[in-house]
Amino acid sequence: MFVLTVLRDTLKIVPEDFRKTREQALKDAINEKYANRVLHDVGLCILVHDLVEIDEGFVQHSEGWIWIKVKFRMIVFRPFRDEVLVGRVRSAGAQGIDISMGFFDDITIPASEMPLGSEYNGSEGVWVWRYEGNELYMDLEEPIRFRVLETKFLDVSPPRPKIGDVDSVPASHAPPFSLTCTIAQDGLGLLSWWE
Amino acid sequence: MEVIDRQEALITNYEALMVLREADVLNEADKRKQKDTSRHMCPENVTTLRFEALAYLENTACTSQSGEQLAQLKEQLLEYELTKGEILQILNLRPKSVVELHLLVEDCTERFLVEEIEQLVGIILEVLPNDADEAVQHQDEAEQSDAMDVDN
Repeated sequence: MFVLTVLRDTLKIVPEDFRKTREQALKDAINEKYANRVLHDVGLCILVHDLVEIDEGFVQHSEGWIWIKVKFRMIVFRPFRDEVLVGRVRSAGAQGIDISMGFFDDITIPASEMPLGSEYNGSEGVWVWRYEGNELYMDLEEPIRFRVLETKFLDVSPPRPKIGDVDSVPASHAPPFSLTCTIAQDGLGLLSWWE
Repeated sequence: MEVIDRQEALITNYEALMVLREADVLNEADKRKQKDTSRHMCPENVTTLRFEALAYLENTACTSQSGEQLAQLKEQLLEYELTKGEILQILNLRPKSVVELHLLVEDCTERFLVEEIEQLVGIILEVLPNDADEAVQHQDEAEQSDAMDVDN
């Protein structure tokens, strides 16, 4: 689920943070910049793991803070193909179901990857798996085990607000990092099915 | 910003949990040190992520694990030829049954005999105990000791 990625960047340490040790100030600056953000082709950054190399800091002549170049390792959420993960059912529709892991939400199971014999029950808004005469409902918020088929990265630019339309809600844009998964295999699906 | 190595290593949920918990402890300590709490502003993305990631991981098998258990399990799994990814998933998901193990190990039936698979499940349950399973474990141990007596 998690990998270590080595990054190098120049971080800014403001005078307020001079009270901290150099390592702690750098780690805080890294976390502020990267935590909960998706790096294209890398994954969702969680927290900095450790610092590998710290260069000498320098102060620009017109500024009052220090820039420090640092090489560090970041914990990144990036499941590999065929990895099995556990999440919760977030929403369901005719196109499939969406799963959430709390810190990461863009996980979809398309209708083609649902177990054989399952179908969407429009009136109740959930998927049902008909197996050996049993009707197994995939209720929302149920813990579910799934396998990752594909990780997709989209290089997105920030959503542009429409000029003149102050109250408009920005249209939902494609997620920069999304997983397409399957539950069409023995052992996958709701945890309660296999206990 | 430069990506030097996109994937230097895979880490277990346990290791990620340790880093998150440490960051949480540091944050709490820092908050207490700052008497004027309005000045302490941890950026929102960090607090959100730390909260959500901790909430997720605290519900998984890694909360009851320790460094020694992970090392012990890796050693015991050496004789079975499992890939790094498979061992990682076993550590993260802690399969409790043969069905769950089949999910994680590719071509399971071709690579291992039925007894070996059951042995694997036994090793996993033994080395990575989970509070909920302790009752079941005692029962299994009692059954095993009965079986050994019969052999004698």
